Amino acid sequence: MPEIRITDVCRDFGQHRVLDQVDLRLESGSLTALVGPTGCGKTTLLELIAGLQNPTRGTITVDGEDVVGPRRDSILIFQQHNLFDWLTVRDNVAFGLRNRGLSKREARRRAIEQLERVGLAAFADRVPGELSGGMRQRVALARALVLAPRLLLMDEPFGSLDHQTRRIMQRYLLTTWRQSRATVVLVTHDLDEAMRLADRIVLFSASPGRPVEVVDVPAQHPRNLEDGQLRRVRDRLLAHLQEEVALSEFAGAELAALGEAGFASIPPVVKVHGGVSDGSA
Amino acid sequence: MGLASNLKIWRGPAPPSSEGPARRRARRWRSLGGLIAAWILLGTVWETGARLGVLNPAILPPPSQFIPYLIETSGSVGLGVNKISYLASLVETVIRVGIGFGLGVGGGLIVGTLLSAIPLARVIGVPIAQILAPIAPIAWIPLAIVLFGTGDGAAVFVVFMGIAASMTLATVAALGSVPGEHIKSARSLGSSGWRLWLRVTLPAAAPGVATAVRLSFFAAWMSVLAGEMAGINSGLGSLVILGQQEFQMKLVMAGLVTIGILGFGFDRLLLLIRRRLLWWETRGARAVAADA
Repeated sequence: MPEIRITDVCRDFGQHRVLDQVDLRLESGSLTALVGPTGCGKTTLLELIAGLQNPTRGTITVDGEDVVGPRRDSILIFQQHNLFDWLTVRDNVAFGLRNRGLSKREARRRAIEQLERVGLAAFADRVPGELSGGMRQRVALARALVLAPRLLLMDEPFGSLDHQTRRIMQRYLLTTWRQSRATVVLVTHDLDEAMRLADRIVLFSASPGRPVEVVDVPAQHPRNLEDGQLRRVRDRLLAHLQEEVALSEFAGAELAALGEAGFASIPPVVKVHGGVSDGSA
Repeated sequence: MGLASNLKIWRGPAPPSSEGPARRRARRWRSLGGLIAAWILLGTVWETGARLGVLNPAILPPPSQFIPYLIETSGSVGLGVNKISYLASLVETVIRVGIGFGLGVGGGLIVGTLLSAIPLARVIGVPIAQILAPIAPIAWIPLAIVLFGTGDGAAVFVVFMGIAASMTLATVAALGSVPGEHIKSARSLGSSGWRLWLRVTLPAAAPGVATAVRLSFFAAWMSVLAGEMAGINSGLGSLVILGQQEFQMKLVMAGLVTIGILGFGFDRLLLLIRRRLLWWETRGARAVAADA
């Protein structure tokens, strides 16, 4: 399974630097969560790994190969399911297989197999417009998994789902990830989601975006977030995340007001693993 | 394993329900019933008004007068070489609008697609289309007559000019509004080049294009009639004008009702084609209606 190395990566949009000097190594078969405030460049980093954008500076390698475009073995999933309205559920799942040169018949056969695995075979002939939000996201996941990707990149995949559906989808992702042992990179703004799923959490600061803290989560699944050790990690990350969000959302005067309201009483940040900088306030 | 037993909550979904087609059929019958009721209402008011003398039958002859008139006389007006009949006019107008509409929509689609594909062409092409689009179709008539005379060529030209520019702009807009994430998803799933365009971009833009095609038909239908009333000396529009000049009000009424029915019929036809080609739209709508 692929290992991702991100070396000294910067990404500018015109004058604006979205990502600044990102150095990360994501181990093969790991599930990494990228967490940070809106606009911290985590989505951009995901699209760089997917080969849908190119870095302004620096290199990204997957299994030692430079990423220059979309790779056959990596799939990107968005918050919106992006299913194709004009294809049935079966043909949506068959879409990627067809692109790989499979015959229509063979692609559809494998699509049905995949749908059976995720319990959606009864909906094969429906169109996305006839499905619920959770089902659509499951079809989107099936559409990616049928290609047996070795690298699964997910951009807030459950962000548009209601709370209960999201929890179920998280468990579903864990099960399928364990079966496939793909390397997964998950972008989320939900710290609890990251705590439940990830082996490693990378916390980003905003403007310019860069990793400020990398935390390994040693606990096995299923996890109890109220467990002592996890709870301490979560509380600290939450404080840090709140600080980053506050810094990216509010100006100095507003921050002072927030401080008076008790928000700035943030405990000192302790590095656990390979933190890159101190999150320049 | 605890996890697997939890997963049973969402495995084994309910089988697809079968109430959808029944609902759709009911809706279709309801709209057909409404159409018939509307015609009966309109006809009754018209006939009663004429009988009671509220509507002057000499100016507004009711269907009971102009329909027999049409059958008996074949609805001709004019003398000698200028003589035109109802049926020949109808056929002529339909052929003209068909050709002009086909060329205008086809041309708009091709030019619009090229403009979307080539950024440099778009910079120049879109403003040109934006200047041409607001020119009323009727304003092209003098030029059309000078270029093509007073026959079919001029009529087709007027229809073409009436819709081609707006169809081009609508195509550019529809292709431009395809969500970027759709394209990224497709690329991530291994699609690229022509295949990406044909299988993702085109169907994603199709609903917007289909709406523009339907609106274009209305513009085309008005253009051809306006042209025939303002210089092109044959066709349904011409028949109505000549009828008025000879005070054949039964013919004028027959012409107007024909224009309405034909326009309605062609619009329904386009809607039917849309539902066939964009079959997924009605199925999605059915699900929405069932949810509501």
